[in-house]
Amino acid sequence: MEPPQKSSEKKDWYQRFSLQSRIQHMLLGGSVTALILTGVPLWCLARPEYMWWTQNSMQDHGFIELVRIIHKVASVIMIIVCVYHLLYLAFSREGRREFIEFLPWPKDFVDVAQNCLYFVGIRKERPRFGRYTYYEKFDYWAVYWGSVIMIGSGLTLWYTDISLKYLPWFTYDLAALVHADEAILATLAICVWHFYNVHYNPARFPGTLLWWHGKMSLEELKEDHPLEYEEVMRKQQSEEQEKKD
Amino acid sequence: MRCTALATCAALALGTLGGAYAQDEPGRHWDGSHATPLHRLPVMDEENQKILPTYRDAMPISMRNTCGPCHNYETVSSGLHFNASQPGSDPGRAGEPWIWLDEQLGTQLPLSYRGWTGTWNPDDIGLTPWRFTQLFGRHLPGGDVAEPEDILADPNSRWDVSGVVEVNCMGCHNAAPDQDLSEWAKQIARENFRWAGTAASGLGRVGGMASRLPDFWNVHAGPNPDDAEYAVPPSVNYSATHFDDKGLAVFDISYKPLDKNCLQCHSASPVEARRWELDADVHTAAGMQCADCHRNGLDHNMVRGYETEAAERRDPSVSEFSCKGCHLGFPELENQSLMAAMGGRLGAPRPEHKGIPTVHFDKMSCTSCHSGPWPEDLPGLVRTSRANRLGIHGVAQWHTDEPRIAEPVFMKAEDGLLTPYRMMWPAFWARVEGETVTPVLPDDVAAAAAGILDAPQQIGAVLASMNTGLAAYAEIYPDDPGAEAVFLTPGKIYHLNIDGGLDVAPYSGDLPVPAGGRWAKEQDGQVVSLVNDFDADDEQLVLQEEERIFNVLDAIVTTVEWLAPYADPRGEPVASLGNKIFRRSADGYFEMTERTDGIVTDTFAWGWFNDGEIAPLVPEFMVRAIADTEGVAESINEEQMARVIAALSENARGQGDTSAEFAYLSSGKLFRLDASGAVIASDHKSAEPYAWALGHNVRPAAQSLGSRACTDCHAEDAPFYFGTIEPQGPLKTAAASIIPVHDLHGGDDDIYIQTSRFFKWLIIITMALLLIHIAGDLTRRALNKRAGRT
Repeated sequence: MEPPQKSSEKKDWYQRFSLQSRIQHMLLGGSVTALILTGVPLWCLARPEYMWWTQNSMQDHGFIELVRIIHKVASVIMIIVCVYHLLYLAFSREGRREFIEFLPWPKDFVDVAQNCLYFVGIRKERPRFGRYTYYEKFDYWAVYWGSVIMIGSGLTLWYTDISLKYLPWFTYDLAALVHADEAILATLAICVWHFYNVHYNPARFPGTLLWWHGKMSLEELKEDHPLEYEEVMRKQQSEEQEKKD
Repeated sequence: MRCTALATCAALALGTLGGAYAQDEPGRHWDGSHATPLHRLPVMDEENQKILPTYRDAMPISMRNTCGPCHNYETVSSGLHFNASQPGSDPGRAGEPWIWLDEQLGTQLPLSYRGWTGTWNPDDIGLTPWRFTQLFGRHLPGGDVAEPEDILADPNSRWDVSGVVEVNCMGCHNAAPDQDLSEWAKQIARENFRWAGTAASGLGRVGGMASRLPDFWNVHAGPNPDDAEYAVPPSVNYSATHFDDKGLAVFDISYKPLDKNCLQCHSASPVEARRWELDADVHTAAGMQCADCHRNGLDHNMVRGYETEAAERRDPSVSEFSCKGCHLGFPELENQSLMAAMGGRLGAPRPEHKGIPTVHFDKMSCTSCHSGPWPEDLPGLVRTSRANRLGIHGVAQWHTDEPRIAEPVFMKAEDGLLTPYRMMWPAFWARVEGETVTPVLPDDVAAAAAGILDAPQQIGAVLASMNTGLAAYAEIYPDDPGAEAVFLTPGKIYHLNIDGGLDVAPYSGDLPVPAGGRWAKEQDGQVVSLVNDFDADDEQLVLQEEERIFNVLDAIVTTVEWLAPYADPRGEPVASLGNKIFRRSADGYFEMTERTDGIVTDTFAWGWFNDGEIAPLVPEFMVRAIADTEGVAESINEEQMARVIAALSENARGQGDTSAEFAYLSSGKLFRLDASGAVIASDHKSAEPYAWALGHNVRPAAQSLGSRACTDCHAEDAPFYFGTIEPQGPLKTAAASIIPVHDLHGGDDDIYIQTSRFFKWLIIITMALLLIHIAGDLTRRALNKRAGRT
């Protein structure tokens, strides 16, 4: 799993994600983890029928305020990452390139159909994926959807007096509902879907350090992203050819 | 009076404060003493003659002439309690209406002279001041419509006999323990209007009943020499202990009305509540009195205490006695009154509302969180003094279960704030013209509903007759244990109660009960056939059974006149079994004849014999009616309603009005008949519930909404948003729509429900698709591995 250090084996590894991307992912992952861990007890606080311990354990020890503070700090980090990511997409070449790669193309819909046919045995081969598979794109765009909802509803709940000065009275309860429901969806999607694709998946279990060093073996790249692999190979060959020339 | 009002307005325009509390009569300014002066006064009658306690058949006290010399009667009678019908009086925020209740006719009509939206003006529906006073005088403080200037204006009234109801000063200001609302109500019921104040104050005892006197009698006619038992004119025997040796009465007067007097007319209690469980309002528990906040000057223009009252009355001083005025103050009034700006009157604590977003105070009234009972999934039912006749005690209970009033119902008030309300649903028979409905007068309804809405009384009357017959039989056969007649419908048993109505209980005995019901008797705790089994083909009946049948028939015959108001006898009472008819002959003997209609029955039955046919003792629709409505809150079923509507139309046609259409409004719906006679229900403005804001009882902060957590209100199962309201009314119907509480909050709260639904399904569908995808991937990987492929 570790990238090899010997210079002779360096060619077997491909630097797939930049430091920029990895830091954004780590901050996002860390803040979302903190938000989930602090959000669950906050949600359960008035629902002792779900988690009886949340009432006493948090209120008696004055712990609730600390949990709220952590939740708010984590949410600020998440907001900063999201804003930074938009700036990164807009103002860096790498960001613009990645954004285009993440855009859904007709091929992605074809890939969905072909992959389903592959699952049921009608098709013998998996579809040939490019830099991002359709399910990775789904992960990416789900964060947009979730962030907009969670940040919007969260700020409404955080700054009630300001938000309800301009919004209908009922917005507060709507925001609380949406915040909780979207949090449940996001948590399930991350823990089930995202973690399956990067951890529980038998081909990857128990996971790689791709999120840390950003490198993927060429073998894995060839297996999971053959079109990107071919592109990388083509580029390497042309570079080597240029060197020879 | 007008000058006083103008002067008040002028004073307010100058920004002066306290005007409402300094309007004593010119020349009689308060001298500054906080003591209440002793009221040792000559008691004057309505002719302004002094009353001495030694007078026989003395006149009653006149408040106008006894209290008036010091407290200008005209000024007092312009006050809040006495000005409802006066032109130009401020209607104020919609309050509790007078509810015209007729339980048997299914009428619950909110009335008010103040023009509150949703109420009916008594004048507009033919309810004269005389009739209004008869109906509601029990809780009226006197004056206003109960004291008309022209007592001869209404030819159907009897003001000349009864006298008028003057403002009853003692009703509020009498601090003596013998002030008695029950006595007041009794005197009003007897049409002893001018005597009611005297009797209720304990100043004297009143005998006689004006209601039994002829229309030509008047107060100067004196005793009736021809009748000392029935048509006895009212008269007073004064209590000598209330008078001194000079014939002056000593009144125990409280400047501020005592709570016990206010609560005579302003009590409210949850239905089924036990008295010892109830707390008082937190203010009274803290030692305050009603009049500490609900203040007034001589003009009796009492502070009601709602937040917008000061603006409506253009009197900033009034604001000091609202919730905010006392507890928070109004800093914006600093230039006019520092005290008003500061708040804290009478030591009112300043709430911190720690942690509660301030938007709550912009969107909700104080009472939302602090007043009334804690909200439940279904609002509770409450009885109030004036609506349910509380506080009138005697051998017979006066209070009524109807109208059923729900509380708390959270609605957006006219000032835009969410506010807890009490709510009742009008129920009445109405003439329909286009979209306009007009209540039909009770006399017209009673004429149409005779023999339709009185099912319990009709069945009760038959049971009473049968009991008489069984008792007569028991005198002949004392060895046979006594029995009580009962009526059975499938699963239910009905006993005659002391009021002539029915008490219902579940029945699961062995006696077969047809759908049309069965007369039976209860003996030694067992329900058995009214008549023991016998063979109808026997030429001679067992003598005991013959006597039993005969005595029951005899009782029905002899009480037929008494039955007549309730039941159309429709012939001769008979019993039948097989092809035999058992009857009481005209000369008083038992007769057994054969049926001529060819019908042979295998069960013993009672009925009316007419033209060779036997009809049931009570119509079958009545049996269905009691099966539907006895033992439940509703008193009318749809079949009865349809019959009354048809009868109203028939009666109108009989009077030449062929186009009249009638309807019944109840439980939030308007019901009418289509061309085929089927009942159709629809929404109508006049069927909508009438609601009035509730102020009390105020709960302490520790028991206010939100004191536990935000989820007291902000939760998916919080009754504050997601409770429901079940329309209440006399009609048993499935057409009444349940109202979600959030529908009344004034916002489009359906969006919450839809959003919640959307996200639930989004989670379910998204996760289902993702799990299917994962399952597909895992399955394929497993199959590939088994096949040796990558």
